Amino acid sequence: MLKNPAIVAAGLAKFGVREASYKDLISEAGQACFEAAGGAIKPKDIDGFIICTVMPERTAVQSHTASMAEECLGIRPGAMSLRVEHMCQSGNLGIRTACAYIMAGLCETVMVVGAEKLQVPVPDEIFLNMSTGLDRDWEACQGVTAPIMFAMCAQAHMRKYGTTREQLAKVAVKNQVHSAKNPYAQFQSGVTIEQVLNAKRITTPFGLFDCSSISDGAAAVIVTSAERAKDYTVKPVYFIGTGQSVHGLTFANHYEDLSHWPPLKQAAESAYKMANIKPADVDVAEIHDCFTIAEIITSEELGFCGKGEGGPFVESGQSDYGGQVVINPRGGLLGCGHPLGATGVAQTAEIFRQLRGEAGERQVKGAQIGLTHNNSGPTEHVVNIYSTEVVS
Amino acid sequence: MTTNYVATIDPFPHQDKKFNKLYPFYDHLKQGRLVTTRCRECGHITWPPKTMCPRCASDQIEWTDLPKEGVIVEYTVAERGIPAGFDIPTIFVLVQIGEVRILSRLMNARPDQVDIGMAVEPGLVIVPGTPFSEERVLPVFKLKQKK
Repeated sequence: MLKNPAIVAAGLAKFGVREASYKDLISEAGQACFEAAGGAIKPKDIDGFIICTVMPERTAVQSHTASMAEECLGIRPGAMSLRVEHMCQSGNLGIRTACAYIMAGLCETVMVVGAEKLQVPVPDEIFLNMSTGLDRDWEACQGVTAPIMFAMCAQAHMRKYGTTREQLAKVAVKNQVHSAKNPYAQFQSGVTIEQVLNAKRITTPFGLFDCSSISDGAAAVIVTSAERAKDYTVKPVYFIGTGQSVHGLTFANHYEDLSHWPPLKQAAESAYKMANIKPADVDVAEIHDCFTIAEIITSEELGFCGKGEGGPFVESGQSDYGGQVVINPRGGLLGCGHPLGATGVAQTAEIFRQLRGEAGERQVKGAQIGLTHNNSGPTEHVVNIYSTEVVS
Repeated sequence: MTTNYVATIDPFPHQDKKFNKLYPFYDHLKQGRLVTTRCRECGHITWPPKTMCPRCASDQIEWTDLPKEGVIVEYTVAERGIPAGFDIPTIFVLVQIGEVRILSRLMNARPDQVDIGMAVEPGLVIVPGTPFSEERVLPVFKLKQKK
């Protein structure tokens, strides 16, 4: 029996500051996903639905979002309907949950939609909304937002391993070169090292381009069983491994060494073991570059390079086309923008296209194994792995 | 019907007995004591304070004073991207104090004065109250005065 679930269709709404409502974004991505399936899959074929979304209660004054999204898309799931919220991990967690339901035989065909409307009319409200993803009682109340935590990790990594400001900047430059080739990305004009280094300061050592932007966006994929996948497409992309590890919310309880992220290493090891592959087997990876330092530390913990070598790894082009593994061909969060719940689903859509050889200008030649990764902060991570071939 | 466009959220925790079992933390802070919770059964000290012990799952919790001095483990100086109403710049510090680490702000210091390894002492800032509690406070740090 073929056990690996498979992605069979993907669709996107453009990321950015959108003149569109929360429902508009969901409809746009869902419709694009059905359209990409070329009429092979209709709303009535979907028996499970998951929406990955973080703060619609704040930004769209809407909870009960799975039913709302299903109604937008004409889906009446007879086997499963739920919302996944885990801050920035939501997208990849939604997909792994869909796969788990399919592997358990509880569902046959699941649509996963990630959606977020973060841009609201009153700008002052935006950072307050974003702070709800932190521990409000003890950290968010101090004015702490995500850049503060990752900046401290960057300071620690620079001090311990000699990672340079220019190496951080190189991550932003690389990913914005990639996003310039992605019509669904928020940023399409690229940045130079000088622009990154001289940008408005956010929090030391980060400038504006070291930080992913607060964006609107949505993405959708359809996941089904390996058996059913063949009815829908000749090129399914198989889900072959997954791992998650979550070690707390407060930054105060991070590991003693801020430059090491042990839960990411643990999540990656689980995923590699399940997929029966090594880090060196990964051809293309969509990882969570919410800040430049995050891509550097993630490259290390995923085993793409040695611990402490993430700076030289990006600087020498090993994470770009022609290197060891192409990281963030979509443009990453830095290039595409970061509509929280939508990000992991959009990463999955990119891996789907890459492994089918349909990524156009962004195509990683001969890509057969792909990886997606989200964090919800330095101490919590999810990793999913995909292949052109069934492994179990 | 007319409505004012509501665009704020309360970024500070309720600190009154009516809303929060951990209210003694704030009462102690107002008296100049930085405290946290300690488990009476296994002795484990946690930050942030908790109503149960995360190590042994006991609910036998007591308040314990943290030391009068901590050390800056890491810091960052924020100029943008922090919620409205906070000072620009704000110096955020991760402080080791006794057995715990606390992420908070360094007050009354210039960015060029701060570095890792520096000694700090606990303090408090007053933040806006609510219709339900007049005064609210948060724990912060200041550079240790050289004697």
